[in-house]
Amino acid sequence: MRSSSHHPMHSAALRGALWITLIALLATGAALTVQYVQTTRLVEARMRALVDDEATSLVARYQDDGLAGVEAAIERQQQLPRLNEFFYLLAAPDGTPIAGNLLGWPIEVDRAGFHSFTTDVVNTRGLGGRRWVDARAVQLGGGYRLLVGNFADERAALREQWLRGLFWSLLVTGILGLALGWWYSRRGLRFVDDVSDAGQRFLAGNLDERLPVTPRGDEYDRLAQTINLCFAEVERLVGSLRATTDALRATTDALRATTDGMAHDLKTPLTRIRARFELAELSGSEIPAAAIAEARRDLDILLDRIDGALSLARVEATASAAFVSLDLATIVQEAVDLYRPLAEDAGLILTANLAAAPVNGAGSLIAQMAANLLDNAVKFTPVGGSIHIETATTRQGAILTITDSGPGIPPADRALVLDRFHRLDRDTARPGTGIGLSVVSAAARVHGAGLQLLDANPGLRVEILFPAK
Amino acid sequence: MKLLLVEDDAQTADYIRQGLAELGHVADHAANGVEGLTAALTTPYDAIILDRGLPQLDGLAVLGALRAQGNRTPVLLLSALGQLDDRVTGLQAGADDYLTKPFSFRELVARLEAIVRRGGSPEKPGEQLAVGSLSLDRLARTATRGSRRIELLTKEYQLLEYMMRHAGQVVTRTMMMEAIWDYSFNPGTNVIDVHIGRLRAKIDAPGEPAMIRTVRGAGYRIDAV
Repeated sequence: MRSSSHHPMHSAALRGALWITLIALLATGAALTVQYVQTTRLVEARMRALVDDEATSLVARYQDDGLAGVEAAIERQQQLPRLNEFFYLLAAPDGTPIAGNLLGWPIEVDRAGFHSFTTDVVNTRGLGGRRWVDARAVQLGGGYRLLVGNFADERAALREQWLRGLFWSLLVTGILGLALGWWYSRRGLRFVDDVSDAGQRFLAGNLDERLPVTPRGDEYDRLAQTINLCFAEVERLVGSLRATTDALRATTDALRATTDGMAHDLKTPLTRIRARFELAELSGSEIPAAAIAEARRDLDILLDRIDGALSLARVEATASAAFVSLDLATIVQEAVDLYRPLAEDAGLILTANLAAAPVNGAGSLIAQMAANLLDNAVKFTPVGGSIHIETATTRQGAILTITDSGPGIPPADRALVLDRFHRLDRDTARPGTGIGLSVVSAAARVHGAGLQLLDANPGLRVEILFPAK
Repeated sequence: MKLLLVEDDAQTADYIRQGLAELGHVADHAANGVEGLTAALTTPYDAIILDRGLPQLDGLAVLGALRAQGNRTPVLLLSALGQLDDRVTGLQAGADDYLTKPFSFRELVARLEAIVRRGGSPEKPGEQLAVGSLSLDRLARTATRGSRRIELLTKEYQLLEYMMRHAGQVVTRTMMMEAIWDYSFNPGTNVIDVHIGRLRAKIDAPGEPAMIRTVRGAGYRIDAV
């Protein structure tokens, strides 16, 4: 579902871009037109004022000096080239030009007043041409008429400029609008695409899938955060469901392994007890006291093993719902108090560095964990060795570490010793059921804690990292 | 001790009664909850051994009914389950102690004696606790034997106090483990023995008679000497 040019969403991107462009075009067009109209008005008003001024001065001349005076004034004006060029026409009542640079009285001008029109003009340099003019017609006495005007080229240029400006502005706005609109719509739609893709991958089982959140903190980011929270919640729920299923499976496996392990471990002492009694029966004599004592020892071993298996099953059946807030340090301190005399008698130095380490858990399980770890360390560390136990709070969570200077466990055997009833060959001469580390491992699992058997060079280092509260 | 045993399995009940008789205790037997409750309410007993899983009326229900009638006879609950939660719910329901099958007779009797003693003469909240020449100052948390002052570590003090409160009675290792460490699991090695060894070394000076005796197959006992 990666983005492609055929993606139907992209028509939405185009639509968005078109709308944005259209709005930009209308806005630009309207702005330019308003500006044009206003400028035109201003120019027109100024022009009329100039023309009126010139006409008024000529009429004043007429009143002072009559027609001849006007004629002379026009002649003179035409001789000098000026920046602001006027044109003039003094015409007889029949329309014959007397003075001025129009070739004839324009038919458009039929009465006194202001007129805009095009006409043939000869300018001061004698060049003729059709020009657009604004002119005022004045009725002088005796049917004589006077026309004073100005060329409206400026307005034509203005209009030309407006049209050109409009064209370019609209072109640039259109291109920019389309580009930006496309980009902007794409950003939104890319987000939608990203969400769909992430959702698809999430559904496909990639539960750690999350949407990127930019530092902009805009609506997209807020939406992304909300969606991420939903993803996280689903992941958490799926996780706990999975944990439950795993726990069920582990329990089933544990049961099977317990059955297998127990069968072997229980058969041996039972066989011995039975053999002793059978022997006594065959010989027809009373069972000797020594045989009874031996049988009882075997029975104690049996009970120990059953006890171990039950306690393991009990650990595995502990529900996290029963967890309470605890401090690892307090629990470990109790275990250290229990084992310190034993360690000292065994010629070991037991040191503890117990910093507050809050966890959620079952106190009796954690106590059992600590006791079993200390028991193992005391059992396997040779005289003169040392044991160090530590609790601390790290960024990852509470941690319990125990290090001894014993023989350690070869890396290849580390997984084995966590199995129930497994005892390394070298340890079979020592007392014990081999259940200690499996109880620790099961208790760690129940707490969602990570258990690591490491090399202390020399010795064993056990690290248990409880999840952060 | 005159005891009532409420246990549905006839063979187990027989063994328990025989074992108790060997150790000098008489026990009446009730085979189900209703019978057990009737017997408990009509006859005075020193203690009741109550199995948790009973037909008709289970152990916890019998216990509840008994306590509801105002009967304070000490009750020891027996359980085949042995889960921590069972222990807690059992004690909350009003049991005085809790024991998981299988158990040794000595463990059973030690626990029975402990709860009978407790039920008969309630704990005196006095500051002084004395056994023979050994006395315990509960405020200063120190011990004195004769005129000799004995410094004790916290756990040693707690152990000694527990044993002195049960002076003349057998205290088993699991009882101590439960009372001092609140551990209801078996930590494997007999760590308690080492603690008792230390305690002995402290309270018995050279030449003084030993106060703490080892009871084979059961535990320890402190006696006035």
